[in-house]
Amino acid sequence: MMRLIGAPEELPAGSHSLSLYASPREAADQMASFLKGARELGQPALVLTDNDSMMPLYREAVAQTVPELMDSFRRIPGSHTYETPEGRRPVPAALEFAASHPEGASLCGDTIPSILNRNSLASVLAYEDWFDTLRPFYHRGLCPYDLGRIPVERAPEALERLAGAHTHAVLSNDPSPGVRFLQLLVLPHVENPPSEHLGWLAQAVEYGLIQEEPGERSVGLTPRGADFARALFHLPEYARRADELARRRQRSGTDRDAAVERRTERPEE
Amino acid sequence: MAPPGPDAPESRELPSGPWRDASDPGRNPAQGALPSPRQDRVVSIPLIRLFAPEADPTERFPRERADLEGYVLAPDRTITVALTAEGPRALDLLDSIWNAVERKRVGRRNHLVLDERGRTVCVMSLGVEIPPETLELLRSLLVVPVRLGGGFAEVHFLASDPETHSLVRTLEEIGHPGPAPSTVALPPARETGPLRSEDWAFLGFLSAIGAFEGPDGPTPDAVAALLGTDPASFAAQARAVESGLRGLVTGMFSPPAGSPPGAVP
Repeated sequence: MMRLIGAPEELPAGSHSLSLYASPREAADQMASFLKGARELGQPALVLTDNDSMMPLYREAVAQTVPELMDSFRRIPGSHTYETPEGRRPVPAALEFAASHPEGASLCGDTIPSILNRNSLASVLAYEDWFDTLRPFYHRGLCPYDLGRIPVERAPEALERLAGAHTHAVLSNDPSPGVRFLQLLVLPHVENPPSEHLGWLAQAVEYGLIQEEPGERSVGLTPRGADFARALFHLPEYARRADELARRRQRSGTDRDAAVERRTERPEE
Repeated sequence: MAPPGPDAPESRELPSGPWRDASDPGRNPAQGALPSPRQDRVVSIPLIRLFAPEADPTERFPRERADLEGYVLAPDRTITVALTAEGPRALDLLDSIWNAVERKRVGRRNHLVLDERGRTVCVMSLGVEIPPETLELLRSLLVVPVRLGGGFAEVHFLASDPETHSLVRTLEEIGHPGPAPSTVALPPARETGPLRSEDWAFLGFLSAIGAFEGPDGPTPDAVAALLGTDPASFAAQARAVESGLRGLVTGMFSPPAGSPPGAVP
């Protein structure tokens, strides 16, 4: 069963870990913490990225934490996993780096969240299952996941499978309720769930948003729970856009009325 | 869907026979005249009451099921519902439901939209003649989704005993005479927080049409057009639901008793 830890820097050698984040800033902070752990273990590190917009954030976070590991980043365009007849596999750069450091290295690729959607979810989960079969090793592997990219109705299954394929997990510290709600689905699959989170989970069950599923320690979203999660992630923005639209319509209506009024008034001038 | 049997939600079975004859479902005799709490009531309603027997679409497609995922009530009392369907002939079932609705001359608009999960969602607007007070009762107590299949609708309400009786009367007023609905289950009561039933229905509707599914989902403008309502009214409803959502979230993530001061949920 997967173990929760406070920050990626605590990840031990030999771990294959999941980190959940809710914003680019949090993803960058987690990455810097992961590299800090590599330095403390004396491991070489490699972070594969294809995301130009993340690089400034990575640089900023790493500069504050482990500036000497700034050159751990290598930009490789496109996804860092690709389909083979046997399933999704990592790009050669990652495997070669690991093979050239048999004493142990810290490795991370950040492209899974960018390819994650309903269609790719199954192959991504199968990839994680496969990757976990490579253990035992002396390396540290970090798999960052953007919680907002996990399809809500598949989240219980996805998080359970991810928990089964990783040794450790880092939860997002984002205070937004959608993030905290979705993360509750991980709790039954970790060996050390925080008591405060268990209290929230109990409350969510009481509200009829999360339900126990058949099977050991398994939970799922009720239909209301799924609507609730989607709404938490997206309704505030949706309501804002609806308000804006209504205001725009009202303005154009007022402008039209004024124009009509002006036209009506003209003959009398 | 067969009339609920062993697969019905876990609960105690209530007396058989017409639902209206069942003695106050959920009432504890020891409660005497105390007001009964709101509880989940699940009833199985024969659709013969809504569709002509020869045209009940759910009977004609026994391997398919439809779910009413949410609804919105426009100011002119038009109800717009989002229906999804599953099964090999899911599209035919949705078509057939619309045809049946049109035959009853209550169908106003019908759109098929595809959500990001690949489901076909039928959004139909209905001008149903229901007295405002009974409509209000339904809006405040009906829990979505409502599953339709095999000649029955499985309907969930969150209602007290008196409200339950009013609902039975309401259901009897809608559609053609037919067999009375039967109680199928009475799951444990639960707290649902500050969101009302119609708020959940609104969220269910938006969810079903893929409104929360990223940048390509329906925009507020498109939703307002689907609903046949003005954006201002749609925005007001979205704001009201967002406020209820915040209340529910605050309750759910409240720090447990004894938390240090300043512990922010």
